[in-house]
Amino acid sequence: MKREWLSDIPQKKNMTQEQVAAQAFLNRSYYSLIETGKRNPSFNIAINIAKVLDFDPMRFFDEQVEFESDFSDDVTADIHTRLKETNTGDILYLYDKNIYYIENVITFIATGMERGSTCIIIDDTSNLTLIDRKLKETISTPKREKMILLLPIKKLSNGMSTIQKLLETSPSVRLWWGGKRKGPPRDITSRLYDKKNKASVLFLCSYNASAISAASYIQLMRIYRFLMTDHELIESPFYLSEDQHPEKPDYIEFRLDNVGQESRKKEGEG
Amino acid sequence: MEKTVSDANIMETLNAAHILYVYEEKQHYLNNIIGFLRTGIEKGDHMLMIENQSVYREIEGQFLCSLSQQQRECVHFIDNHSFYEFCNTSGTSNVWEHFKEILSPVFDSQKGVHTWAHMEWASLGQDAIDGIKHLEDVAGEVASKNGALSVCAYSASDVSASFQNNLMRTHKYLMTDKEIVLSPMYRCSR
Repeated sequence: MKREWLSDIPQKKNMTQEQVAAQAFLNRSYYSLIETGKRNPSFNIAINIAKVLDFDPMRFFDEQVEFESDFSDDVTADIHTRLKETNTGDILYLYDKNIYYIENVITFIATGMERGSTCIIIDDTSNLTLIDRKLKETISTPKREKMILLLPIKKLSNGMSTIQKLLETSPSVRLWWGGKRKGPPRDITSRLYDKKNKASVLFLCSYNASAISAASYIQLMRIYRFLMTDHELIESPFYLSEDQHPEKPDYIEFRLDNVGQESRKKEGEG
Repeated sequence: MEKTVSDANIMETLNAAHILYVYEEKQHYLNNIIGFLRTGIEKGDHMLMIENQSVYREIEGQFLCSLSQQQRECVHFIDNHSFYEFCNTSGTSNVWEHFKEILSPVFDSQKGVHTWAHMEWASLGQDAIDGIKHLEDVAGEVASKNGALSVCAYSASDVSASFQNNLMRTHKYLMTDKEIVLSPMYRCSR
């Protein structure tokens, strides 16, 4: 949603977008994204812009709260609605309960199929059995066989050529990575974002929320544009797009810490 | 020097906010707590620190020793281990009574009161969180006209992502060593 109130202020002060951006230590294109509502500023950036234009920086955040409160209170519906609206980008899903995890895989597939996306689910065999059972209840066999690939993690290397083929032939693809504690291998991520691929891609990577530390979580928040829990799907407040952060780490180069691992290591050293 | 959140002068801007701070580097942590104390003291407010002895000693050496006697009287320290122990054994509603001697000057004055609580035992968290909340409620009554800030700090390597998500639902702001943002999950608890 465009921030008309923000674009009005420089006009009244006879300032150009470029002047405001420069005085707030931003490049013009990023400032323009803030003005058009495509990006939310960090706290420090909000303060800088507010200083230049002389308004209360909390206006950015109050507006965000008002906007977010417009969404439904039904959190499951929230995930459903947002997955229905989103067909590209990457989602970090930190799950707590397996029952919601399975429900969310089904929602991911169902909303993808509504948009004509081919859905690839890579997970362990026990989860795939549960997912398959649920899908059989609601989706006809020909449609399942045409649009859904359930691939066990241990058979991943054999399935790579099928994934590649789907990326080349489908207009849009959704891929769910259910590695629990382990991120997707480079084989997967490099194929997903290879510019030669014709498909638009929505990628979801899930981790067990109790198994990784908050330190890892904060790093992952910078890499993934969307965050998902069992009950909500939101934009990451720390996401850095490539133009803001050209050295953004790869999905898998990042090393995950287990909870308490760092402090135990320090104790051991001491 | 690397930038820390205190450079953004959060106390000048936020009003009566509840902040979750998930820290990674000790030096950033110290810079941020010192920035928090400095700004509050300059405003003439009371600063309540629920902190461990070791961090307190470092802050004393790096900052508190430079304060005047009058300023120093505005900084109140409660050992966080004693605090949690008390919350876990005696319940949270008596926190104020128990720490009355330390806290009397704080609550008898009409100044603003800001709280910094270092939460080191995430696994025993709920009682301690309730205890902090109780103190904040008491402090909030005193400071409602002045706007109280309260920071709950956790080590990022000691708590899980799941625990952080729960905290993000009850704190309006999320702070790391270098940034502070509106917690994207806060609305879910309202």
